[in-house]
Parts: sequence; structure tokens; C-alpha cells
Amino acid sequence: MKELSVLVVEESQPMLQVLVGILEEFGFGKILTATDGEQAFQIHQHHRPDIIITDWHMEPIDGLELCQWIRRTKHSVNRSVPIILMSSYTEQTRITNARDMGVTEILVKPFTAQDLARRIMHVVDVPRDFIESLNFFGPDRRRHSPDGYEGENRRTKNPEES
Amino acid sequence: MSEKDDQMYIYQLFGVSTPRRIKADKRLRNKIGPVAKIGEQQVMKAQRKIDKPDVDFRPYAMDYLNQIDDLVMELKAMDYDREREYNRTIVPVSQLKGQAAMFGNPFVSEVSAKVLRFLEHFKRLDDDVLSILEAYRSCVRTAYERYISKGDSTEAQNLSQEMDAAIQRYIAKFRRRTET
Repeated sequence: MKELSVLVVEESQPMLQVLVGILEEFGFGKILTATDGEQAFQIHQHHRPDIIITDWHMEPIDGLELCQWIRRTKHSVNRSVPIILMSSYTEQTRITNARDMGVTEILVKPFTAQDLARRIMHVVDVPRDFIESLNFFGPDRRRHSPDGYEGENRRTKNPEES
Repeated sequence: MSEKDDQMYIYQLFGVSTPRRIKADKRLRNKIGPVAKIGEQQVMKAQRKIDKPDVDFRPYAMDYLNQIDDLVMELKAMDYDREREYNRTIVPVSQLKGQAAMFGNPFVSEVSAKVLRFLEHFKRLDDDVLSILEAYRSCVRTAYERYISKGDSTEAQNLSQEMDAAIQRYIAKFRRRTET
């Protein structure tokens, strides 16, 4: 993993310290840190990290706003960088909101080192297509591929033919 | 320039009028090579950083509890519109839920998760909810003062049951209120 750089954004100092320790063990070549979204965006612009791991709740700019800045600002240097959002919230509406903001993966706190390793390897090995539309720029929100459908195929015609 | 202007600029620049799909690339995999991964040994070593952290989380936990104290006092003084402070209220609870277990106290994370689920479900900050927040604050404080970090001791179970009972009493009362 030494070829990859990662930006960790976390307001809580002890948590940031633990995260850096974990990522060092994982062997990342470059670990950048920030304690809020604004600082993180500047670092993203200057260092262009390969992966961003950010907490949700931060002051004054939180993880979701950071994600919006990266995905939707015209001068963002890498609009499709994988963003892993750490959150203690599990409420469905919040998760949906995060997905709609263009978050790549969500990691619910507390987590184990294994959980974090899996998320990182997932963004490396299973990169997602991006969708660009008038209201959205982010990873394709539909994860289920029709190729994986195993049920009966009841549609006999293409919609265009009917 | 507003965010909308920014977006419009992007659309003009790239000529986006209908949604388009940008195919994923294997840039990160290509960078690290075909077989590189985070190995089991690395994960085990990293887990040790969580299991035996260098940081004493207790003072940070006490800060979150003080935030809850202050918020409860502030909310009690408000006669109306307390729900406007909902997002601010759940922050210290969510921080304790997310961090306590990562600094050796899964018990506090479990109790905080219960209270967070409760707050997220009702999204109310009436006097009874504030009492539950006070009970939660006492529960967490006790856990840290008495070095309770896992849920298997009798003391931990008692604390946990007290929290459950307080939440159940609220749910029962809420149901009665909505039925009448």
C-alpha cells in the first residue's frame, strides 16, 4: 500500500491518533491529516490523496459538506476520489443523505481494524462508476447489477418494443 | 459564486445535459499492483492500536458528558422550540457511541447506541427525554468512575437494565399519550 496516499479527517484528536496508527500498520506511503472539512479540502487540492477517510461530524465544515465540495466544485482537483465516511449514526435517512451527497462508502463507528481494511480494499478492488447529472455527481447509487439477478425473467419484450 | 453556479459551470464546461455514466477505472489497483493487499498480520497489529490505545479517552468522555449536562440545563430553560436543538443534542451521544469502544470501553458504546437509537426514533426533547439524557449521563459517568468497560458484570447489567427500563417507560407513556 506504500504507493497510496490517504487523507484522514477527524475532529477528535484521540480518534485521529488511533486512525493514523492503524493506517501506518496498513502500510500507506503517505498519511495526511486534517481536523475539519475546510482544512481537508485545501489538503485535497494540494496533495491530491488517493483515498479520503472522513468523519461526519466536524465543526465548522463537516464530512458531508467536504464531500459536496470535492464532488461539485469546479476547481476540485479530483472529483471522483473515493470518500469513506465514518459515522456513529445508523438512521436510514442519514445514510441515504450521505449516499446522495456522493459518499463512496460508509463506515459505522465503532469499527474494527478489519472493518476499515475491508472498506479500503473495497474501494481499491471494486471502484464504482460515477454518475453525472444536473443534481448529482457521485458514485452510482445502484449497487445491484442485473447480471446478478437469479429470479425468473418475466419480461418478454424490451420496454422500447412494447 | 454559489454552488448552483459552480454546477452550471461544470455542465457548460463538459456539456452535460443528460445524466452520463463515467466508467470506473482501476487506477488504485494499478498503482499498488495486482496482488497487494492489507494482510492479516497488518490487520492484527492495527487492531492492537484499538485494543491498547496510547490515549486515555476518559477526559474526552467527561467533556462529552459535560456537554450533555450543559445542554440539558439549557433545554430545560427553554419553554418551546427545543427540537431545534435536536442535532446539537445527539452529537455528544453519537461521539461516545462511536469512540468509547475504540478506546477500550464497549459497554459505554453499547449504552450510547441504545440512547442514540431512542433519540433518533422519537426526535423529541420533552422533559421525559431530558430525564433519560440525565440518566444516561449518570450511567456513563458511573461506568468510567467504577472502571466498568464490558457489559458482562452484574454492575454493568444493572446500569444497562436501568437505561432500558427508563426508555421502555417513555415508550409506554408515549403510546398512552398518542392513544388518548
